Amino acid sequence: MEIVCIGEIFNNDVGGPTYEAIYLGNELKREYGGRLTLIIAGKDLDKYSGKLSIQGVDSIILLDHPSLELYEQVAYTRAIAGEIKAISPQIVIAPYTSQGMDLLPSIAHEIGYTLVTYCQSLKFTGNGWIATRVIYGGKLLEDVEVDDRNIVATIRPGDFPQLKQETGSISVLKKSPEIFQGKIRPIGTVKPSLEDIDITKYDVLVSVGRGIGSRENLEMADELAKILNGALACSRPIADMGWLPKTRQVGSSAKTVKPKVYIALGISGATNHINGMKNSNTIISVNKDPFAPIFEISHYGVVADINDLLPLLLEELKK
Amino acid sequence: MIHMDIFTLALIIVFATALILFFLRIYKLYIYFKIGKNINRFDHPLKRFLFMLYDTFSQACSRRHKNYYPGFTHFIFFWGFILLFPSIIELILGPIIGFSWKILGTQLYQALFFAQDVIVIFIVIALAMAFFRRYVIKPPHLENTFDSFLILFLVTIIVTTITGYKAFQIAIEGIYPSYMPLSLFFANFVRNVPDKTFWLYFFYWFHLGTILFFLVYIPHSKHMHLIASFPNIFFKKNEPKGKLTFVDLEKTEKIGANDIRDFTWKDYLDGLACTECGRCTQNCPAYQTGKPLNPKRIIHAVKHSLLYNAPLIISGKGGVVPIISDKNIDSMTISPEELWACTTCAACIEHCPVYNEHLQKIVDMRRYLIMTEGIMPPELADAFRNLERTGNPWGFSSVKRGTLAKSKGVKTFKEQKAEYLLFMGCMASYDASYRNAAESFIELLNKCGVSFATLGNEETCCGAHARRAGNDYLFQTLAKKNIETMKKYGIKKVITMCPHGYNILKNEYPLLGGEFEVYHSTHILYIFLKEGKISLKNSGEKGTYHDPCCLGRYNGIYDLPREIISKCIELKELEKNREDGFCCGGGSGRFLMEEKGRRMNEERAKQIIETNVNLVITACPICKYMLEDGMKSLHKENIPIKDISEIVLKNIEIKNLNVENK
Amino acid sequence: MDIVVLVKATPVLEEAKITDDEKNLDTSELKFFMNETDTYALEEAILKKEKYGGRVTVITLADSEIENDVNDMIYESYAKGADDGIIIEYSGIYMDPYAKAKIISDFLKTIKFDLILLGAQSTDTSYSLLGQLIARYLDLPYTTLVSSVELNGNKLKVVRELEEGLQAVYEMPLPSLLTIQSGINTPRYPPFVKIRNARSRPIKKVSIENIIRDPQSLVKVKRRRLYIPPSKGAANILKGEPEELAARLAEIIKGVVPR
Repeated sequence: MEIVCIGEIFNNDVGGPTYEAIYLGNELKREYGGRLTLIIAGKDLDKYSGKLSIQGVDSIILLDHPSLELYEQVAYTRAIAGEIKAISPQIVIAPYTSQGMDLLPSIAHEIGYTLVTYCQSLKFTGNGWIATRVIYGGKLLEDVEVDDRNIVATIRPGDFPQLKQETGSISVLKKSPEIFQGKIRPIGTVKPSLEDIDITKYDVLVSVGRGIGSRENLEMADELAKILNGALACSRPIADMGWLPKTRQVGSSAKTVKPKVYIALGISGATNHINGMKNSNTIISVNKDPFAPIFEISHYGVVADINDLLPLLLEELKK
Repeated sequence: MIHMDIFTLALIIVFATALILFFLRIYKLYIYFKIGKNINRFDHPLKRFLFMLYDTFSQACSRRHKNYYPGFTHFIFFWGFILLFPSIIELILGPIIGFSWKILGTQLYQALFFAQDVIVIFIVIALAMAFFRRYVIKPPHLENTFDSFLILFLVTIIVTTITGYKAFQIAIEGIYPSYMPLSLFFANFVRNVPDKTFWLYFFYWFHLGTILFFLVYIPHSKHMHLIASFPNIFFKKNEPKGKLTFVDLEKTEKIGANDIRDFTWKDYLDGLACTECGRCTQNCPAYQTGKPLNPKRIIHAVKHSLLYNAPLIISGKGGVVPIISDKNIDSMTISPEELWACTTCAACIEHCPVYNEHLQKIVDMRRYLIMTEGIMPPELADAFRNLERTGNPWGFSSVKRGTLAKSKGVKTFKEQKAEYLLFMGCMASYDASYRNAAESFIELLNKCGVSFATLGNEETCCGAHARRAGNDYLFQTLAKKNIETMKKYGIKKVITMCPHGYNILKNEYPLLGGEFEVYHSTHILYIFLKEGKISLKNSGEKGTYHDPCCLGRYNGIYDLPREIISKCIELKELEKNREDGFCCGGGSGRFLMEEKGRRMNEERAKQIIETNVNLVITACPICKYMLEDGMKSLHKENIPIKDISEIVLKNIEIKNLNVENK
Repeated sequence: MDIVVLVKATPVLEEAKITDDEKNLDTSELKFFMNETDTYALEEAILKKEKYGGRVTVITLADSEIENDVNDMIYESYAKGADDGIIIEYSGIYMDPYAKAKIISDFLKTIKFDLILLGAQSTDTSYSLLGQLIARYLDLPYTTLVSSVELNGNKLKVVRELEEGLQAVYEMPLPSLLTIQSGINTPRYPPFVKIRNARSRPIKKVSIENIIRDPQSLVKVKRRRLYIPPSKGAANILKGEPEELAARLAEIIKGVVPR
């Protein structure tokens, strides 16, 4: 089986979900045999070839061109699709990151493959593919089928492990692709304006969701984080409301974290959020809804009103 | 026979002019009143009239709620006016048609004049008390305006001039009427004053002039209260205090109030009957904790808006100023911030001596903001969205609503019909802080063999907070769903633990066709006690009872819970109790909202702490939640807040337990 | 600027019930509301209309089984400020994003517009694919996860949300398609009076057969089976009074947090 994985350079590094795509590619290779080719587009990609030399990857194609420095849909699509067409793989795997969500439908359309998004598992039937997808916020699963030997499958960042077992020399091919200009003009990437901390570097995170209630409780959560030498993080609604900057948002579409201790206060557990923190060593969740989905992935769950619990907890810890 | 001379002519002209000016103004106000909506307060006219006579003549209106100081002074001023009024009649009609009170006969005549002299003495005392209160004690809710000074000043002039007149009259006539002790006292000083006639006329015109000036001035000032208070008491609302008006969602063109024409003639009358005593504001928990809400201002804004806009509306000129605005325009506007600060606790309407209706105006303006403009605090919008989707304000799964009752073995009506519906309510169904109370009450119902069941997951929020917050559409949607479900199972009797639910099921569900026999848990516990189904032992603990607004002021239930509680603990009353109870701050959806500045629940917690008790009992899940939060903020978690069911269950005497009773 | 907003009615799902054929959700007791990210898209369209003028057309593809809820959804859109509402109606057909995209694209060819907005993801089937497919079928420039849109002359300045709080800025021509991320604005609460007035306004209904003869033939991702995931077994759930919970939780935290 010819397998292609599409990687992504994010913030001057290889994006974590790239390794997840490689992991899945390896699983399929183990099951069905074949070759795994990794394709990445960007500028000055040489420095990443070491990091991309992952166990199981048979060859790496670096599509390197100054015009590819900033992600632009048409240029990336035509460049990557061109390579894919040359390889003619059965399956193309890519992470459905923010960039992936923009790029992959375009690539799939360009190469004429059907795209199935957020696949949790894949099975080749000989005539087509069967994928399992999590839907309705995790409440249901569906098995879907594509009657075509070729598909593009994207995965939700966080669904798969990021195996970074580097190996010796893998064939790295660097190409300067033909650049096609689209109608969308990239102007630049904006870093968050505030000088903020990097929550991925903390061993302890205290994360607040809608259930935190008031800004007073937010301050208490911050105090809790400080007592534990951790940092304050949050779920999407809190960042949307502007209570904390977006750099504190935990989720597969925001920041994926893996602290030693993740304390979730008033977070119900939307899929994207869970995917962004489920690999934490110890997950402790507090929510007044005893049926909050986050409890399913927590090591400890406390059913309580945060208004009551938080001040008492702070007192206990200060003793 | 009219004695026509210069004096009489002048008198007739002055008097007629004053009367004409007075009635012109009254007529103008009447024309203004017509721009408003209609409301029917003409039911039971005799009953209304008799009550008005009682309330005003006994001055119970001004004395209520331990207002003994101003109650006393006002009693004096009221009766002073009544007793002195005959003098004015005689002073005017005497010269014109020769009228005199002597027609009453000597005894009555002398009694009248004696009473007048006595009341003048009391008026002087009352004036001193009034000046002292306003300018020395200076209660914060009492504004010292020009008008408030003017009336005291005018009354001073009036009693001084009438006494002066009588004194000179006695001196001129050379009599010594012992039935006029005060006037005689002064008369004795002036018997030797030369040209007494001049002074007689002086005091006469000074007195009459002051009174006629005042007559013309009354309908231009807050003193219109003198006239408007009587009809305002006559037309007062005789329904349960907290009951709000029905909104016909389909037929009402304009929903809510933001223009002066959206209010009723009774709303305008409220403005005229208001004498700015400030008791509404003084007792408003929002005002007391520094919120911008000031109930007196609500009444005033309607009044000022009427006086400003009515001429513009009637003449067809533009420039009508709406009543809701962020900018304070000449005190005829109310800001949305003031409106959202209200907890609909009804302290304002409870304390108003003339039964003004601040509450309905606030809710009508809220209805405008929410149902016509879609403007509301974001926490309310979130709560509304959750109610629409999941039937509770927090967005918890509606499928899990019946979990607590089910875990206690209570059946649903779907599984098994019963005599009573136990309407759980959102707090009992989902809130961890009320769980023990709900379980206690269920246990008591079981112990006493009551046949009851719940609606399980078919129950949805009763809609009380949505209605009071101003979203009547949401309320009606929720209520109609409940009513349909309850009718489906042929339910006739309902028990609730939450006073908000109790109030709305009892008093407002009938507006939508849901007529049920509704009981609050305290009713049921009281019945158990009286019927000997339970017997209580007193633990001797010192505790207090916090009156929930929806049980107390809204529905007059003060004694039942106290009878039950005083059997369990040593009950010490809070200073602000019963009708004077201080709201926990959670009503009309406020328990879901952020409160800036001093918190009402903390304020109430402080009052409780000052009472030096070890325990607080209440009969409302919202009160329990808010007070617990208040105590925690003040680091007084050692004072527990318990629901009445928890206390009853704890103090039940086991040997008298009647278990098998069907 | 004439804007088309594509919206979807999604259910408030608490306890999923599946039809006997194990292929569909039993919607008989479910209530449907506008998909969350679509509400942000609609609000953005209304804001642009308020600022620049033009018309906002709301289009939805819906099963006639949930007709009442879908009508309510359109009326709510009117109450918020939408000008026209169109329901492309079908009955009992399963469609994947490819089928839906083809049908909607063909329909959109009959409408004049400057911009298409829709939510980045639906809370039910969660493909995050429909908008992108429609854009490719209509040969429109598109971008996804938009957190800010501004009109500069006849071009758009668009900000995309990336991971870790980063954002990418683009300049895009009109017409184009954007998928909208939550948090871009605060969707307004429609006042009842406007909803009531909206109920008397017409909603255009188009039968799916008038667009494509055989919609099911367009399906590329077929559904084999719909099922409830096995319960993963709850964690160590602690319940009790806040005081004792706080004490126990403090112990647990002290045990796991590095010194």
